[in-house]
Amino acid sequence: MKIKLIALPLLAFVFNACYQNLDPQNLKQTLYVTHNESTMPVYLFGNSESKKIILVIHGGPGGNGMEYRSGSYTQTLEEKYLMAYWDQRGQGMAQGKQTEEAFTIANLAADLNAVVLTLKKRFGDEYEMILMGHSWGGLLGTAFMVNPEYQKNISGWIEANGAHDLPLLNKTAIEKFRIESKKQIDAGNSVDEWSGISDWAENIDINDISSAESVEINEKAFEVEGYLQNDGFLEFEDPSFRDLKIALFSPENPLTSFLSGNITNVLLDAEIEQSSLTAQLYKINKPCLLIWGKYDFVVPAALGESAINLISSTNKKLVIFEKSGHSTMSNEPEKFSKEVINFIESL
Amino acid sequence: MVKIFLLFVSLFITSHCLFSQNTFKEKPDWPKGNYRIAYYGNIGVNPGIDLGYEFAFLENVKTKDRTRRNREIIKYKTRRLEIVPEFGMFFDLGSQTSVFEKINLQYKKINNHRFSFTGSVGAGYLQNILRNVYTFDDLGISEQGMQLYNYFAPEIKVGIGRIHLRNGKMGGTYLNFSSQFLFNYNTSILPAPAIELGYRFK
Repeated sequence: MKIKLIALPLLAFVFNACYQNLDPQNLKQTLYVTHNESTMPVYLFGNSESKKIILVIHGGPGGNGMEYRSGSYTQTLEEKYLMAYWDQRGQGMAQGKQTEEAFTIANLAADLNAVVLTLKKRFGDEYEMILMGHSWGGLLGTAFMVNPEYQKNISGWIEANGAHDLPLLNKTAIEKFRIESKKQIDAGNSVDEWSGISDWAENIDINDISSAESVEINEKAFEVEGYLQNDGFLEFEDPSFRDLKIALFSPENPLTSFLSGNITNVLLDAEIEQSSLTAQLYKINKPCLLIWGKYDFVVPAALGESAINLISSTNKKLVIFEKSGHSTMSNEPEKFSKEVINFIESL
Repeated sequence: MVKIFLLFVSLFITSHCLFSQNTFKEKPDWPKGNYRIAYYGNIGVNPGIDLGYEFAFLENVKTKDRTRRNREIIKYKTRRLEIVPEFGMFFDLGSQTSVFEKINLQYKKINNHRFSFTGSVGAGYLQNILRNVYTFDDLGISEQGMQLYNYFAPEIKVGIGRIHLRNGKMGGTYLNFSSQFLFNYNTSILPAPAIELGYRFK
């Protein structure tokens, strides 16, 4: 009994030491970036010989980087490029002793700049950095990209279902709820459920959406994705054995990530609700790929449609996936990775 | 994972109940202090080890003498207050190693069936050790290598166990449910619950 009790942690220690793999074609390493009192992990997986790094900006706020490693799209991308999954300040396994005032979008964008420059130092200036932000990560990534000092270190920007303009998001979401519910009721799909959505959406004044209604929009958006999935409008990838392995051996402690993330979400919430970066999108002059789902009610494709016309880049593309909702990478992973690879190869 | 954990706990409790018929024939003479070693699992998935020493500074053994069906039954109940210095560590695979040192005030009750219940409160420090740390500040980026984050960590703990005395030597298994509370973790407090499955010996 005593031997087992000692052996178990020793085995864990050995396993922990083996977690790192420095083979450049199959790199596996965790590094930490300390900036402004926060120490944030960056989990590196994939082919570093490509000299191209995709830095993933996770959603939430309150999510974590490793959530984005699940799914076959990362398997394809990791074979070709080095993927960097970053835990933002106060989220995932990021730690430190900070004040609540440190939690602003500007500070998080500065953290992202610190991560970009640290990766450049770790791997070399010849490495190309491509940012990929999803949902809230789209807002944070846009806040980073509209700063010319930050943007100059980036080779490309991929925004997937990015929430870069909350007031516009709320307004277009309500319009989308109204139009889509009518369409679905007419087609006889989940009629009772869509009728409820229709009644709720009709009662909201799109010119005066409160914070409480904004939260409701988010909840209803995920709710309707369920109806659309049941009626066959959305595709979903079944979890694989690789996903199970990622979940079981993830460096993220789920409880730590959940608790820290929820607190951070509350701290950033008020600023996010007011955030509108549409007027600054012209400052982006690096190649951009915008990916949206046709059935995304959380962040409607209207945001992508308006952004693509305002971005100054000459190399820019908007792709709307026909069988996707808010998680384009999970809904249509093959298409997603194909678009990302085509974009990166075009740089 | 939850099912395996519940099965494990129920097996532990069942085995204790099955063996609980063995009672003390005479007043137990517990040693003043004993060691303990445990598997320490932060929420059950991050493995580690916990070492401690339980030192009793207050002890009260109650004797109950009853007669049932013309048979005299003597029951002994022990209550102890103990000081428990502890040291341990656990790993978050692929991210960090945590080391903790703390001191707990523990109440222990041992009944006539050699079944123990413990409850304790304490405080200490927890250090998170991180590898491959880079610091970004006004002076630029510097590679720190290893960095240590220190947190004040009060703790609460409850547990059950079984204790035996053979030829004056003490031993027995125990299961504790504990939670450390890390101050200030980011902007707040982070609970770090853990299970401890261990062995007491002298």
